[in-house]
Amino acid sequence: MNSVFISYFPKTRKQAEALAWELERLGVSTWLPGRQVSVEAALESQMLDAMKEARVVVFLVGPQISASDWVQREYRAALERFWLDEDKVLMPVLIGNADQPAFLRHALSIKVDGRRSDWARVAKEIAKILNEGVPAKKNRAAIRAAIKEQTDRLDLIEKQAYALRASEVHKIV
Amino acid sequence: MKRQPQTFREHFGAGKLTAIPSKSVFVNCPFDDDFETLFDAIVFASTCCGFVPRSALESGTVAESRMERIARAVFSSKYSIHDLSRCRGEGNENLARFNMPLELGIAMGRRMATPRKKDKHDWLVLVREGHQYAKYISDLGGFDPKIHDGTTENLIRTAVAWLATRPEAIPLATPRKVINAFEVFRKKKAELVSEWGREVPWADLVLAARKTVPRLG
Repeated sequence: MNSVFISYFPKTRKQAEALAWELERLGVSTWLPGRQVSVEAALESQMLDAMKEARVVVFLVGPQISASDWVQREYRAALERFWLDEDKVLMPVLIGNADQPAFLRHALSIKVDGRRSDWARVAKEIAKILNEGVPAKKNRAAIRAAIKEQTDRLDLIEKQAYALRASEVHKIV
Repeated sequence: MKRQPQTFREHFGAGKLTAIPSKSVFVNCPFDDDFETLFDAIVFASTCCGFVPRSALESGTVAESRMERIARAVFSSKYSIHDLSRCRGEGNENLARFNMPLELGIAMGRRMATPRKKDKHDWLVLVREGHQYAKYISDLGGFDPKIHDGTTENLIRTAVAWLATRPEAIPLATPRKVINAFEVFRKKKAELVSEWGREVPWADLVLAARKTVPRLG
């Protein structure tokens, strides 16, 4: 069983391998897309299985890189698994000034400079989460932020719909 | 000659009704009786993910051609969802309807016309299981259409999984909660239909969806 799934962009593959190596040194098993399998159809099926098994899904995000179609697939798969199992932890690891993937903007994240020495620290933090879970205080703060964002957006949709309704005017032509 | 009162409705995305494109989804799905529930499912899924659903149905005026209304709605939406289920032979002449691929083409044109990557139009194409789209619209092959089984449950799951990973989506409850709430939305829509017949104002439909969105927490 793989405890940690590591999603990465092609340009962050070396960092993903460094993180996997550090995690495995701590006794944590990992799964990196493309390391075990390379045929796309088989890769997708194994990716979905590995995503299902993993307790933590790490998203390694580099600066100014758009998510490829493959990474988008991993995002969707991770979210779908999370909806079925809310104990699964989705955790972005941001290299340099990388932006947090939008769908994870309320998730606990780790920032790194991308130096080799960073990965031992990140591996320790992930191992701690595997043992103890996400700190409750951070979880509560994330839920509050998500509720506020949902309320604000629904208010905006309502405002636009009322404006559309009000715009229906009767004119004599 | 006595003048008759006429109803005008301004269009979403224009003038004082300017909608934010990045928070708008154009819904390109058939909405006749056989497909209405699936259309409603996509409208509802879009609202649950924090997007204003847009459609050719949103304008009440007939002074503008259908194609103008569609193009305007597509060009003022960053996202679009296209269900090609209806593209199959039907009726005595076994003719297929091709409005949906045509509107998908407009969305593709919008993407190519978007200069900045950040604003590039993005779409989701949906096809039914066993659909032979690859035989008559093979250019779509590279766009990875998503397959659904024709049930609202499956369609909502597919649409939500795509919408929720768009950068402007809001956090939402699980798809199961969206599916459960959809039944409530359908009841609200039935009340609107009993009041308005088939001409339910778009704003009222959006408001019904917005009021039914399952809340977090």
